Amino acid sequence: MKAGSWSRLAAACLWLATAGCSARRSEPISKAELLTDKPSERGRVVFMEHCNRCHPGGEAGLGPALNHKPLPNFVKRYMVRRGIGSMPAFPQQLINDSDLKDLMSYLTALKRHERGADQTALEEINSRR
Amino acid sequence: MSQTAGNATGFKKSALALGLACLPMGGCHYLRTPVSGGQAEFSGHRPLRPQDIAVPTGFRVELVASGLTFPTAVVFDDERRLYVLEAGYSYGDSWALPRLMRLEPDDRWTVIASGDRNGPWTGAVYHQGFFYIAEGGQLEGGRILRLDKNGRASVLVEGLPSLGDHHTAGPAIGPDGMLYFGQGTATNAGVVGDDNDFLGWLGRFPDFHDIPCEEIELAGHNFPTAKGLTGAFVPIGTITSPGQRVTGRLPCNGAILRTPLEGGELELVAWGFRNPFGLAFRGSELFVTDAGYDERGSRPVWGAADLLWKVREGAWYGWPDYSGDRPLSLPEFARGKGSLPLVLAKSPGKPPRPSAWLPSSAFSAGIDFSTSSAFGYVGDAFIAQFGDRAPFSGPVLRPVGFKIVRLRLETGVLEDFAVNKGRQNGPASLSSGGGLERPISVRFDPSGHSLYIVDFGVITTRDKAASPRKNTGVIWRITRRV
Repeated sequence: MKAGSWSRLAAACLWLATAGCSARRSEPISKAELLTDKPSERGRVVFMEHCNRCHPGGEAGLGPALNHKPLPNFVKRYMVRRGIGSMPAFPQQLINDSDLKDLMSYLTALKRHERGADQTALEEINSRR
Repeated sequence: MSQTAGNATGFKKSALALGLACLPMGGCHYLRTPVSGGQAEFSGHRPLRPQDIAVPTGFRVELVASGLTFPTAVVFDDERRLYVLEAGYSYGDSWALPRLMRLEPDDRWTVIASGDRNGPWTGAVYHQGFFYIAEGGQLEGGRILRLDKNGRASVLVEGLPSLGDHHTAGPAIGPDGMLYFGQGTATNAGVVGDDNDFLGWLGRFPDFHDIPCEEIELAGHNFPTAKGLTGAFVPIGTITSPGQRVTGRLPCNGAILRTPLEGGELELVAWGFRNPFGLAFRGSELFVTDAGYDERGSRPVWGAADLLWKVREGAWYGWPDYSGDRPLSLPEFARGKGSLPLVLAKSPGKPPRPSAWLPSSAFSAGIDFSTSSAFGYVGDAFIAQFGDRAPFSGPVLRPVGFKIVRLRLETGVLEDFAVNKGRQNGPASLSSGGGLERPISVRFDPSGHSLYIVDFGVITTRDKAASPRKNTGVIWRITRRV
């Protein structure tokens, strides 16, 4: 099996693994502002230019959700650089190494913002019972 | 084994092991069924529950009005009375009467003016005793109307090329006292195709096509349609050749235009937009939302963002060969399979960088800026996202849009401001909720303390056809709790 096929298989497994979790992280849902440091603030700007169009707020849109994927950063970096499926590759000229590092910081901060979102979803479900 | 080969093998093993380890934890329903926002089964009754809309802590949502048919704008007069514009037309070729109506203190509506079958009335602004209305012009071409408070109308501009996909929209009064408005394109990406037949207008106007604002030179690429090969900026079934020139003229498509408030000469401000729908000034700077390409028709484009532009006089903004400052010949716009041919032999300019890249397929529509510290976020843009029209506009994995977003202009960072609660994003009808359906515009009241959301109502898009539902439009209001 070629290297690209291995990574695609691995990514598909991880996608399946997280199917049950909510990817919603935005402030109205989580009821808390996303806490960011300087690198993840810079990473958020990179995300808005290159990623947000297909993964709005890290949720699914044209592309799959990112927020609830337990992907290690090296896999994410690999997918950004090489592309996967319909997702284009983002070479150095588009996202340099420093920006890519900041982007990973932002994605990590977004993922950690999960607890508030899940709590809100739970409250919502309870209120409808 | 070399060091490189060893690293590659290690990567394969760790990636596979990680994937397999996680596999038992999940379910696969998420993968099987891409869901677009319009795929709800609509019963005919739209429940309305402001508490189903999530907003940041400290804000509250209220229901102002309901039962409207295709509302597109709210506007306030100098006595701060609220008026609502009903479009009179919706995608899906559904017709009604365009109307401007005033909400009275006892919640009754007074109809100020009605149009004829030339909707959609897409936007309105009030200025010094007059309402200025953008008439979409689906049957007779676009117009800019001026109405006094008694509904007496005069036509400031007419004959705008609005018979196609995108209409005359978004009037705004500039600091120079001129009326600015957007004129959308006839097609998705410059080429008339079978998608336009599906939308309904090609049967009515088989010779209609896009008109450039300045002379252009074509590359001579032609695309297959049911009526034969078709080039850009020509009627369906017409072949173009390399080096062919197309004369530009006013009025044209894909442009921001302006006219004096009393009527007069039409002026070109900028061109190369696709669907310049929402216009708003922040101080002396004009910003416009521009809905990105769809993956449909003879020249489908995948993954193109909606855009927010700061309008620079005389500039060309890239349509039909760029998305933002990125040429459509990049593989990303063809799902990585080859590349799309550019239809212009020579670009009229290099498009500027957008002020913000907005989610693809969201249809980012109306826009307004916060000016009050009582509401907060002063200087930030609030944008209504109508929501995807998949599968017609191209497939999505999950619903996109159906919310109000806040944009920090200085950084281009976009955040949700008002969204439906629930496990995933989407219109209320998809989750049996009572919140937002299809927000089409936003406007702050004259005090700047309240943000009004115009919610167009339910449109389902099963089997590609759009089915808009009359009497499901709503006006919401968001204020900060004291």
